[in-house]
Amino acid sequence: MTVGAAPAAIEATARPAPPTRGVRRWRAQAVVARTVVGLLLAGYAMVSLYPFLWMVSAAFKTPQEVIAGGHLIPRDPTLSTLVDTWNRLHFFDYFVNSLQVTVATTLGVVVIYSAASYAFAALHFPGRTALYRLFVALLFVPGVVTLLPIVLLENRLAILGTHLGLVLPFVNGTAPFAVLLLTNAFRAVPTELRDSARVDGAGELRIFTRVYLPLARPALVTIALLTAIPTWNEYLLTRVSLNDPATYTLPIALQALKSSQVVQYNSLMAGALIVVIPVVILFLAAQRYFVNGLTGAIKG
Amino acid sequence: MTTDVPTSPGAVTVSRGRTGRGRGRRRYQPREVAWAYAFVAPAIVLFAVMGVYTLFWGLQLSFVQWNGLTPTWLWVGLRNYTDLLWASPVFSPPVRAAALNTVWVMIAAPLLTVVISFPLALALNRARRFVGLLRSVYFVPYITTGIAVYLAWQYVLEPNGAINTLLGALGLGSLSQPQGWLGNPDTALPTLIVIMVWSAVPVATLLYLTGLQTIDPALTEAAQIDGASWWRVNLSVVWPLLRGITAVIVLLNLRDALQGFQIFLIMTDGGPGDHTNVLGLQTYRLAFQSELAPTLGLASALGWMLFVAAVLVAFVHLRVTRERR
Amino acid sequence: MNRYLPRSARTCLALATILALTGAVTACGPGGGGDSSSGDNLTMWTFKQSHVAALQKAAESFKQKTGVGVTVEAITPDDAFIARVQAAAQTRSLPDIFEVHTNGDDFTFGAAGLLEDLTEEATWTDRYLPSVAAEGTVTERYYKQSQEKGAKSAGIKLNQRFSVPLTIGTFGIVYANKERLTAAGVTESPKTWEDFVAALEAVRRARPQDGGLSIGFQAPTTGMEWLMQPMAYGKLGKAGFAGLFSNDPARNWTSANGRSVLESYHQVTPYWMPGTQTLTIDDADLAFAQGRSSFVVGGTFTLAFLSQNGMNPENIVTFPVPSPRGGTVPELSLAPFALTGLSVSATTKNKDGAVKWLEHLAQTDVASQFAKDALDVPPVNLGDDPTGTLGPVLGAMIGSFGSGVEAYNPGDTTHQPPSYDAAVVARSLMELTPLKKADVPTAAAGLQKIIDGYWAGK
Repeated sequence: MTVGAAPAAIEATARPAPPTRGVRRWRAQAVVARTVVGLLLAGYAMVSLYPFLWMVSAAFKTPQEVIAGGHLIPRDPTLSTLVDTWNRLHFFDYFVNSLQVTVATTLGVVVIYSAASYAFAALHFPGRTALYRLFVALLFVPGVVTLLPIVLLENRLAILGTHLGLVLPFVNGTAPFAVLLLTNAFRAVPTELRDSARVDGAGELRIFTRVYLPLARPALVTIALLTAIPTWNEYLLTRVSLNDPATYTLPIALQALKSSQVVQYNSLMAGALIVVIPVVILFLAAQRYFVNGLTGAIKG
Repeated sequence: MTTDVPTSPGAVTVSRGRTGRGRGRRRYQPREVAWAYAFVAPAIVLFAVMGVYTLFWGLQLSFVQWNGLTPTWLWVGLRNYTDLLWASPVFSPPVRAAALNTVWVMIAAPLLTVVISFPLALALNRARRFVGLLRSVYFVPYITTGIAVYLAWQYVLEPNGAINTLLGALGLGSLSQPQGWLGNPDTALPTLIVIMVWSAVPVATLLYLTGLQTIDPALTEAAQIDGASWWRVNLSVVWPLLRGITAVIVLLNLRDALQGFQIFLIMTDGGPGDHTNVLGLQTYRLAFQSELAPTLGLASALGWMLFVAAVLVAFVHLRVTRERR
Repeated sequence: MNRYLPRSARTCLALATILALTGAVTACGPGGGGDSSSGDNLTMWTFKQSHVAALQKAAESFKQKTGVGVTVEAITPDDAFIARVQAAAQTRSLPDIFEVHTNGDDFTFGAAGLLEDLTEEATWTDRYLPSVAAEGTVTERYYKQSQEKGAKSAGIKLNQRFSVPLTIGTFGIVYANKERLTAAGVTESPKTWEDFVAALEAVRRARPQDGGLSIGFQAPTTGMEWLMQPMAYGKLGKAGFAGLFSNDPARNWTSANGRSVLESYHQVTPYWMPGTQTLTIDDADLAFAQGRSSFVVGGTFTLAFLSQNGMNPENIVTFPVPSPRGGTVPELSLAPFALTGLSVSATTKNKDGAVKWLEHLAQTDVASQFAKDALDVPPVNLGDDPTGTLGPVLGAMIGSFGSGVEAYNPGDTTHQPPSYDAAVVARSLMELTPLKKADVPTAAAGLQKIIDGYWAGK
């Protein structure tokens, strides 16, 4: 049983896949099995990438070719759609906007909820269970319920339509999830480490920053990624609250591209590609930690 | 609450139902308590500003009739709830239709996600080459889920889109959809479910994979020595060991199926006709697409019913999975 | 150690705030409207992106003339506009001027006390075309409608005026590809619904791939309001048409009248462009402009869109949705009505300036320029030669307007029951066509059930 098992040190989770020693025992089956496995893996890789292949393909096609439909490989590939979408439609500005919102939200989540989760996991104080449960219960509040109240509240606070007006609800909205994940990760830190740091005279702030944060790094990267990715792609609140094109984030710019101008699928897909590429790069860069962090969360 | 909270295994803790260690220590130390509050304070302050007001106000809204413009609202008590559930001939039929679609999504999406991601994780766990590459590739659908990918899907699902062309090339032209996969009322909802599953498989696969890596190889080896086939070992030894992870995956997908509607808003807006309307989208329609009719209270009431439903589903689900263990 | 306590809390908060602020720094403008305090300058909200540039141009000449500046802000899509107005209404931080859907938003806003009553101020209405001059005013019928239970406009008073027209037009216009029509042997514009169906058949037979009719059914009201309703009006006449939306079983959808309308409408079912049920309005027009469909149904506003997207106006045949043979109104023509109007908010600090701005936009030269910039038809009376002032495209649209008591006015919603939600009704109608999930009696019963629900009130 993995879930609910006793907390284990995070380092142990990075262990490589167990050797498949048993396979040697059935030679005949092994060949069949390996083929099946190979086909399954390759097939699903295709399924995973399928819409992207067409996204890339369309982004490099000429308008005429994209209307005509046809093959995955463009007949005469052109970079001009991509360049055009990037320049003429100010996608650089939208990119910067998206980056600001995403970075601010992610930092906010990591800073605020790592502190809170440390308290939930390691400190003993009245109201701990109640507060923790409150944050967990928020996981089940549908976003649509708070959409209008947020708009009204932000208008009162004069932050509606600003990026701050996106960041604050995004950070708060990630709370249940960040608290769950980080509290789990901090609980996995052995109490002995904390006790010995205490004996050495370290204060809570020091224990938190020098002992807990470094040990929970995979979990921190994981929550950062799991915040950054949906924030980058967020559409609903952004759609109802932003109206100055100068503040648009990429998903809204893409929607505007679709609805306000007459565009072919080639420029639409070029825009989509511009939206997608940064998160893919971010994920590839942080992937190693991400997998470890998830493993740690599961074992916690 | 407005960001689509990402899916992940963090929710595991829910199943533990307690806040962990240190229960034995009953006496609070003032210094530690003070520190604890300091650590929690930023989260609480933000929640007080962004959360308490919106939740309280949203709850209050569910008991009134209001269009968001008039200076006063009309207090109607529980009538919004009864109207949505059965009382109103105007508002309850769409809710019922949307509920039916939502139930389909709640059944199909978690089931398909598990059915696809478990074998995929097994296969990935056996693979010796390209594991890192494949893991990255498999994760792409999750990290890109949003309007960009939905537009790409729309593109390939069109009447003369890539999927119909592919079917034609494979000699399966009879399966192609001349009205487009999102245009045929019979295929639109299943198609959207498939795309939801496509987005959910990455996290589920990764969870299974991490689970598989924590299983003691001795267990599976013992079964193999007893002469059990590879498939049998996985079904009768590995699958039960990963039941906890399956529970998490199912729960997360149930919640998304119940409350998520972004894909529906962007890809079909509930269409064609009303064949892909779901409860989340119905809530959004009542709130923002009713042309200023006084339906904000109804929207809020429906949203809160979704909250209660999600909590109930989680509760029942945890009960069932806990008993089985 | 305790002395660290407040500091750490503050540090955390400050840090978070700074992080958040740096993210928002370039975007921290006032976030738009409601800023009527800055001198005499006016703020205006519109939900039409295509009107912004044209309005800004008009604002320049207004500033030269009066010294009052106008800031125009577009808030799109519609759900965002609505959320924004709701938020602003709560804090009374409204803009000075709104662009509104005439005889719709203006009455709803007016009922909520958000708008000035312009009855006294609008002294220039004789400049408008007579048929639209009074629109935005609460007539007897709209007043009656507002008194029904559950009405959005509850609270408006008879003869109040909440908006003046800004753009006019009509819908129910069929655009057909002339070359293809001719090639298929159709040389005359269809005069009856049966002719229209025959033309659809002829073109589809000649071009099975792209001979179809496109409508942006992702907005379900298009098929119902642009195609079915004009035909139904032609078939049944004004009273019969209104009867369809009543709760009188002898006249409504389940009656012989209703079923025969649905049967006629169902005749177009075989001719839809594949996938038309998933298209937005723009997609559908685009499909026509690119030749993927051979017919599209739209309004006066469609022509500009088509010509912007490379459709040669010479290759277009337009005709109003025709009346079925033997219909009550055999020569169906379409009356223009105000599509959008201008309203002055009740919280403006410069009511004089706001009213002057409305008057400015109603001047013939300003209105014509606005029309040309926005590619929309102006409400002002341009005399006998609108083509000379506006050019051929807009002029042709004005030429398509009908008048008289027999003309169908799609903007007239007085037949609708209270809390009527056109999108819900239209989605139900889609089951008949294009989705083919219901036959005529089932569809009729489905429509009637919804409409009876509205009449029953909540």
